[in-house]
Amino acid sequence: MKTQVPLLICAIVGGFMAVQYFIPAMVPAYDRINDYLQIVYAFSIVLGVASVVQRHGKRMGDRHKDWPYSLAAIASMVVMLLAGFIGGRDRGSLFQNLFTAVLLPVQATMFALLAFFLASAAFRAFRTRSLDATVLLIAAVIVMIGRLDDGASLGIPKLASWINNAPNLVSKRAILIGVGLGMASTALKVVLGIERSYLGSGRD
Amino acid sequence: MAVRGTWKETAAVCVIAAAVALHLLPASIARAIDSPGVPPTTPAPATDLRVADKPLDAGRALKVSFARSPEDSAGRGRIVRYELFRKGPGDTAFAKIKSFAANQRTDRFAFEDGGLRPGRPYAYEVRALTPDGAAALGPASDPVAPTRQWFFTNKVNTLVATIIFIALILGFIHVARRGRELFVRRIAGLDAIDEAVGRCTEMGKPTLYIPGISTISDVATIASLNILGQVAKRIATYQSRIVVPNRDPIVFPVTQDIVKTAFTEAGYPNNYNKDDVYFVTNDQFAYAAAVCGMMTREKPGANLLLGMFYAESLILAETGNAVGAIQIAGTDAVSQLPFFVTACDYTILGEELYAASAYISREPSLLGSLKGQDAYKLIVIILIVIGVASATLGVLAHGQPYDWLRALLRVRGAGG
Repeated sequence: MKTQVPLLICAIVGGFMAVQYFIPAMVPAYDRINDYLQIVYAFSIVLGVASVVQRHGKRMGDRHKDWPYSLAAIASMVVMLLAGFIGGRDRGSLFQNLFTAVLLPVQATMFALLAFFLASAAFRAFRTRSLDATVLLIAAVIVMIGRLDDGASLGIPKLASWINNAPNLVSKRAILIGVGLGMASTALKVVLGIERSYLGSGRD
Repeated sequence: MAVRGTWKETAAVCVIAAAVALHLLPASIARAIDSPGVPPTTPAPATDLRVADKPLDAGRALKVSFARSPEDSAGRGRIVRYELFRKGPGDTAFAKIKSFAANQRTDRFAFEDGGLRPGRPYAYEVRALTPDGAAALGPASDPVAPTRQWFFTNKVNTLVATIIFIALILGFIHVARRGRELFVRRIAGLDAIDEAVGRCTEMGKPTLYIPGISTISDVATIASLNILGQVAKRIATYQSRIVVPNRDPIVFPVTQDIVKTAFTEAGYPNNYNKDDVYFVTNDQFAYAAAVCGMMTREKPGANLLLGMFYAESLILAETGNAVGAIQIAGTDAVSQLPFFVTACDYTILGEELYAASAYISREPSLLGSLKGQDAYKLIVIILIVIGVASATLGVLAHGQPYDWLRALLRVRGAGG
């Protein structure tokens, strides 16, 4: 029963989703089911918050070596919750101020780290250790110079566009065709109950 | 200075003044008649009101369109606005549903009226308005009922392709279940999972498994969860430790259940630690920061990044690289693949992510589905070759002989 019921639900809902793609009259029902997903998501947030509180609470209680981080996480969550419940979320409220003055800059900082990681990754990728890496390096240099005005007189922007639009795009499309077939195949296997690794072994 | 003049000059000025006054008086009287208090003249109404059923829908919408009033010239004439009215079943009067500014660059104004009831008649009328408030109501349309369609006739090619695909998958699964040996090429990234898990066991370090940051609706996430089931079972068998931080609150309980089931089936239910499979946050960069922090502090022996990733992919992979973990990454996000190729030891490219579960488990029915997928891919390749040849011949012959192929392969959305 533990696996049969989920498999049955999966087969019914998955089959409906496949069939509705071809039947206009079923589109409103499809929209409604998508709305249900939002409701499920709202409830799952409660599970997520419970997990955060439980995990970090335990770490603090056990005096885990990283307990100050747990304290910071819980304190931040509580402050934001209280700010939202008490002061509301309107413009100028404490919640909005915390969001724009603390959370957004911190997020932007994390995103900005990407620039440094890109540099270190590019350095490794472009080391000409093999023929593949050499081809990659030459292509990258051409594409980068192609973005500059200085390269126009040498016709490099045209070459860079060709690299992007011909070999690069062809490779991307080849991967995407494979991905599309893989997705369809996985979906079919899950709907038909052939693929059940996500349920453990699939045995009751 | 005093004005000097004779009586004759004075008389001449009076005569001229009287003549001017007599000339202007009728115009003044006419203007007085046109002044407020007198209603403005009615403009000509909008023309050619058409109402039609929206094709290929659930019978919930009608398409309404009308042409400008003859006194309107793209907002430069007398008309400034049009208002569309509707009268539905049970309505006693027409009610306004939409307003259009006249100064739009179009000859016809069109509107798709949605949220209607299938099979029930609806009538429409249009009112043209001038700046001074004068309005002209055009004739109402005949009632039209939206009708429900039961098949997207423009998706016949997709349906045929889907049926062929399903038939191939099921056919090869049947063949595989009958015991026929099926060859699947080696996938280095998947072979390395065993090596990575073994290394973690030897070093006494945990394996970090990141199931992507997308939702459960994403097929890449489902593929990742299928791999997690297999990987968690191996880790449980080796009596090692797996850590799974989650970004999506729906994926979180699923991963928790998968890992718990894997440890139970491996015979070591007590080794399962509930706190090792946890929800972090649903914020993208906060998640990346938390996982990077975890990598730096706990130094996992292996990082498995499998699923859907976005801009955080390189942040995670480079941090993992810096802490010296074996890294195996797999995603179908084409834009993130170069980052993983650069920063990870092994990369599972695109469709290999979907083949992973079959590859690891070696279950005949799953392997059969892989072969079915390959057979369908062969059909796609043949069609591409035919298309390229046809297009090339078309260019050489100055014609378009490949149009039939293009029409055959065109995929349309729900709206057609």
